[in-house]
This record gives sequence, structure tokens and C-alpha cells, in this order.
Amino acid sequence: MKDKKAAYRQGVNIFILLAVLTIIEFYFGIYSGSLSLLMLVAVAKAGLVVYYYMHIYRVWREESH
Amino acid sequence: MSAVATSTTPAHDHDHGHEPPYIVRLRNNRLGLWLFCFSELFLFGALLSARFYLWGADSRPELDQTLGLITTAVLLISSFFINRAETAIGYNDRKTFLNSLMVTFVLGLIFLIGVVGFEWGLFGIAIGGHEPLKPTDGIWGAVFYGMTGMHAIHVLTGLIFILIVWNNGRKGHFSAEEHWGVEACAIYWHFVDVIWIIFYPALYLIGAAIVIH
Repeated sequence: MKDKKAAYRQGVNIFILLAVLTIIEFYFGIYSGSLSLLMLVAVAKAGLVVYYYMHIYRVWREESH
Repeated sequence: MSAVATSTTPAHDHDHGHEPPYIVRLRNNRLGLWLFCFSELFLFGALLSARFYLWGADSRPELDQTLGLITTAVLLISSFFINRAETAIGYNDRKTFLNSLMVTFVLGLIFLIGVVGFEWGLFGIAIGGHEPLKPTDGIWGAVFYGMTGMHAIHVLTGLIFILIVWNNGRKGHFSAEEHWGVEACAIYWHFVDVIWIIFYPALYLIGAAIVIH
């Protein structure tokens, strides 16, 4: 199990990354509106949430909480 | 009547000793919840397909960008707080767990008010100087209300889920070793966030804005 501070820090780091990607996405939307660019950013954000916040890997790793 | 047969077996003996270990139940519960999330993708995927089929990839209705960005940011921050709550209960930090869960609830409520109250125009306030879309506005209204409405129902369910988990946590339920209820609630809330992460650019950013009113 990770140490407590590291576990909290990971949550903060992922949030910062998501915030930066949202700002980038917003500017892409305002200045280009390109479908591929915006979907690329959205999928990257969704991937971060699914992996780090939803812990999808726990489904096949059989680990406890 | 004295020869009434009495059993030596305790009344509920058959209920004991057959429950699978916690780790086995946890594994099954996780798989079940992920399958549920996967099945939900078909519903939201259909709505997203409808958006591109009816609006095309190069157009969208004019919506208030500030409100869209604020609601998105609020939901993203709520995801951070529910992750914090889940982490906290993993270390038996009950105070941080309960506080973070309550912050998540409040942020979720703000999101819901932002979309349903302001974006749908239920409060009668014209956001950004233009009238809100109506469900009767043809393909624009139909897709917009279909997508945001279905998502809002999930947000509402998530809020009820959070309240139940918070109340149970307040009563002393959950521990660092056993907190599937918290994990399930967090996964569900993040799922609602993931859907919005995809819906936000589809509704607000992709294509050129068309003024409906």
C-alpha cells in the first residue's frame, strides 16, 4: 500500500493534469472547433479518470482496496 | 403434546458460514459494477451518435461558454474530492473522508443547478444575453435535452448515492479494510464525470456555433 501522502498527492497531480487539459480543450474549442483535436483531448482526460480515479486495473489484478 | 420434536440445530444456522470471503465478494462486486458502467456506455454512446448524426461535426447550437466551462470545472473538482474521500477511508482518516464526501455532494448539486437551472432556463434567467434552448427547438433542442437530461438523471442518482454513503460513514460504517460502498460510490461518480468529459466538447466546443433564437 502506498504511503498516505503519496496517495493524496497522486490525486492532486491527476487533478492538475485534468485542469490543464480542460483549459487546452477550451482554447481548441474557441479557436478551432476541430473534432479530432477535441476528441483526442477528451479521450485523454477520460483515460486519466478511468485509470487513476476509477482504478480499472483492480478488476483484473484482484487487489483489495 | 409433550412429545413435540425439537431440533438441536439453531434457527438460522444455515445462514452462517457460507458467505464467501470479503475479497471474493469485492472482486465480484467490482466486476458487476464495471459491467454496469459498460452497459451504460451503449445508452450514452447512442446519444452521442445522435448528436453527430443530427447536428453534424461542423455545427452546434450557441450555448454560453462560461457556464459550460464552469459546470465542467465544478464536476472535475467534485471528482477530485470523491477520490480524496476514497483515499481517506483507505487510511481510516474518517474526518477527511466525511468532509470530502460532503464537498463532492455540494459540488454535484452546483453542477446540477448550473445545467438544469441555468442552461435549461428553469430560473428564467437569459444566460449570456440569449434565450436558452427549448426542447421544442427541433434537432437542436431534442439532442441537447436528451444528452443533458440523461446525464442529469445520473448526477441526481449519484448525489443520492453520495448522501447514503455519507450517512453510513457518519454512523461509523466502513473501515480501511472494508469499504466497498465508498469505492462503488466513487466509481459511479467518476463514471458520471467521464460521460460529461465526452459530452462537454460534443455540446459546447465541436463545430461552429449556430444562433437558434
